[in-house]
Amino acid sequence: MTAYKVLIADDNSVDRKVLSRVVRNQGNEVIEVGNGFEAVDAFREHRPEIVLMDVMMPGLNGKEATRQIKAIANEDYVPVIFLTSLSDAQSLADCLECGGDDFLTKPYNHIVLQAKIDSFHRMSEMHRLLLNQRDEIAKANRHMLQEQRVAKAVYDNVAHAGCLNASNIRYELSPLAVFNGDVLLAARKPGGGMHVLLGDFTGHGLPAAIGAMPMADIFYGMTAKGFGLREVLHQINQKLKSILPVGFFCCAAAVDLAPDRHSASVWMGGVPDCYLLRQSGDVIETLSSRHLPLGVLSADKFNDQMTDIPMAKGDRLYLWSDGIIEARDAQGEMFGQQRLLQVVRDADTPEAVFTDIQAAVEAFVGSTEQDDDTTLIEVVMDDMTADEDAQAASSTGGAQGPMDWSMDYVLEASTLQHFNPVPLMNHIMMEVPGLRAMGGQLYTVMAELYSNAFEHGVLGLDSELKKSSEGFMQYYQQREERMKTLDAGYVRIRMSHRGDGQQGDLTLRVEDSGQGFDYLTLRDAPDDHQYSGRGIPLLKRICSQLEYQGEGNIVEAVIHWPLEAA
Amino acid sequence: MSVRASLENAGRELVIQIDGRFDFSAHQEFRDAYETSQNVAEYVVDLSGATYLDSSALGMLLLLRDHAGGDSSTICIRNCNDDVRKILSISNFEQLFTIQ
Amino acid sequence: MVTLDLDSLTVLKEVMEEEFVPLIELYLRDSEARLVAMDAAMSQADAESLRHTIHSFKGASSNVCATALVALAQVAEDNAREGNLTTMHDQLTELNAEYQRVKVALTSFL
Repeated sequence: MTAYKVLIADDNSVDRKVLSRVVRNQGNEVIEVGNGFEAVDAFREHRPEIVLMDVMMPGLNGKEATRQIKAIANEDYVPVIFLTSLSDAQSLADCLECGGDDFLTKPYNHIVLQAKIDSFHRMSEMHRLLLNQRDEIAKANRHMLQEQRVAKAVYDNVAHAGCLNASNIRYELSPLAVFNGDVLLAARKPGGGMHVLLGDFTGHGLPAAIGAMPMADIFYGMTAKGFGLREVLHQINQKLKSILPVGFFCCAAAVDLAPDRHSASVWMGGVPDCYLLRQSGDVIETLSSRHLPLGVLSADKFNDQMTDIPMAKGDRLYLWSDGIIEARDAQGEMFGQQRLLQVVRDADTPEAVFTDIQAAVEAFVGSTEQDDDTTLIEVVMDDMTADEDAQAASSTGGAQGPMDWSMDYVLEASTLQHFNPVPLMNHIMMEVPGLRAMGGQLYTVMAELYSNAFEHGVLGLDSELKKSSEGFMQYYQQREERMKTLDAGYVRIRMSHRGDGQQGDLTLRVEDSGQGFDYLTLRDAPDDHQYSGRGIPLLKRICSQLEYQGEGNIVEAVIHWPLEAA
Repeated sequence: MSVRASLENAGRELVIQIDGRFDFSAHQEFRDAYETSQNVAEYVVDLSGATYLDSSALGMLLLLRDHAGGDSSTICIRNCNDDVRKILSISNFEQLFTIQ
Repeated sequence: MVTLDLDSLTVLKEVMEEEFVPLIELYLRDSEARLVAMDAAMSQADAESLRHTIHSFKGASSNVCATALVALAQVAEDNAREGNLTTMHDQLTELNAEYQRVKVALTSFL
C-alpha cells in the first residue's frame, strides 16, 4: 500500500485525533493543523495528496482555505473532503458547490473514511496518468508538425519545379496542399508547347502527398526529354499502381498544349467536368472524364487515349479537382458544378473568369473553417516557344563527349504503332556537348523528319490536309485509324557525327517505306506560314544542308555546330 | 451508416447492403462483410440506401474487386441514386464494375 | 436516547488502540473548558460565541458516541444561531447534567 500524504485541518482537537489515527492506521502520513491559515501554509510546504477540511473554523474558514489550496494546486488534482456535522442534503450539497470534492459527517466512520481516501487516490492516479499522456501527445504532435514542415519543403521543391509561373498560366493551390493530396505540375516541352497535370490523390495528409513525388519526378523528367504526354501518363500510372496500396489512386487531368498544331490533347480520369472557354467568350465547351483514375489499372490495361480539341491562341482551359465542387457553406450545402458553370457564363470578360471563380467560392464558403481544397488552374493558349534550358538539364555525357560515331536504327510496323523514337534519338544527340545549346532546334528537326517519314511516308497521310483547321482534325483522325491498322512499313534512322571539341557536323538520314513525294517542284515554292505541310522551310533554316533522295522517301539533313547567326 | 451482408443463390452470391453515408467510417465493417465469406462467385453491392459516396468508398470498392479476383471478378453495383451514379461515372467505374 | 452508544464506542476503542485513553481524557478536558466558556458567553449575551462553542462541543461529543448529549447540543446550537437566549439558561443546565452522566459512563468504560 502506497503511503499518501494527508492534510487534516480541524480546530477541534478530539476530532483531529480520531481522524489522524484512522488515516495513519491505513498506512498514510498525516499533517495536522488547527485553522484555515495554517492549512494553506501547510499545503504549500508539504503538498499533500488529499485534504480533510473542517468547514467551520475560526479565522479563515474551510471553504476559503479550500479555494486558496485549489489555486496553489493548479493543474494537480488534490481532492478536498469537507468535515461537517451537518446532515441535511441541501447543506451537504452546498459544501460541494464551493469547491469540495466530498464530505464526511460526524461521528466519523473509519470504514467510510478509508474507502473514500482509497477512491480519491485512484482518481488522482488516473488524473496523473492523463496529464502524462497529454504531455506525451503534445510532444508527439510538435514533432509531427515539424516533420510535416520539412516534408512540405521537400514537396515544394519537387512539385513546383516546373513552369507554373509562366505568363499563360494562373493557378490557385491551397498553401496546405501537402495535406489534401492536390498536385499541380506544368513543364515546357523541348520542342515548344507545354504539359500540364492536375492531380488529386485519395486521402489526406502525408500518405496523399507521398505519391506526388514520384509522379512529379516522372512528369518533369520525361517531358524535358521530349516524351509525349501519353507515355508520361503511362509511366505515372505504372509507378502509382506499384507503390500505392489497393484502393488508393490519383484522379487527374492532363493536357498537352501544342501551339504549333493549334490544339490541345486532354486526358481526364476521375476529375469532374472541366471547361474550355473560346476567346470570344461565347462558347464554353465541356471536357469530361473518360478514364479511370491513375494507379488503378495495370500497365497492359491502362488507356492513354487522349481527346484532341482545337485550341486557338487566346482560348482558355480551366481545370480543377472536386474540392471546388464540394466546397461547403455554413449550412453544409455544396458549391456544385452548376454554380461553377454559371460563374463562367456570367463573367464580363474571359480574363475575369479566373478571379470570378475565386471570389465566388470564397464568398460562398464565407468564414467557415473549410478544408481548403480549392485547386484551380487556367491555361491560356499562346505561342509557348521551345525552352533550351530543359534540354541542357537532361544531358549526361563527359566534357568532350562522343565525337566520331554513327548509328543505324530501324523501326518496323508493329513498333511504329506505339513507339516514338524521337526522345531517344534526341537523347543520343545531346551526348555531344556542342549540340546541347541547340537542343530545342535539334528536337524540332528530328521530330519533323520523323513525323514526315512516318505520317506522310508510312501512313500515307496527305500533308495538304493540314492547311485548314477542319483539315487538321481530319488529319489526326485518319492518323489514329491508320496507326491502328498498320501492318507493314518501316522507318530507318541513320545518324552520324564527325567533329573535334570546337565544331562538328551531325548528319541525320531518315528513310521510310512510303511513296515519297515530288520534292523537285517544292524546292522553289514560297514559304507557307500558317499551316505547314512538311515543314521544309523550317528545316532549311536550321540545317546547313538538306537533301531529298530516292523517290522523296529519303531525306538527309546536316547540322553544323556551332550554328552561325542567321 | 450501416453495412449488412447476406448470402443468396445457395451461397454463391454475396449481397452487401450499405445505408447512409458510404465513407471512411464504413471501412472496417465493409471489409468484414466480404473477408469472412468463402466460395463466393459473385458480389453485389446494393446502394439503395446510400446517400453519399466519397473517394474512400471508391477505394473500398477497389479493395473488394481485388479480393474477388481482380480482372476475373464479377461485381455488380446496383440501385444507385443520381448523386452516387454521377460519382461512379466521373471515375468511370463502369469500366471495372457492372452498374445497374 | 442513550447516554453512550457502547457498540460504536467499542469500535472506536479498537481503532484508537493505545490512543483511546488519551483521547477520552482530552475530550473530558476540552469539554469542561467549553462548558465554562458557554457560561461566560451566556453572561455576556454573546450568541455568536455561544453558538460556536456549542457546535464544537457537539462535534467532539458525537465522536465519543454520546448520542443524547449531541441531540441536546443541537437544539441549543439552533437556538443560539437564532439569537434566542430566553430558554438558553435551562438548556445549558440540561447540557451540563447530561455531560456529567457521559463523564461517569466514559470513565467506567475505560
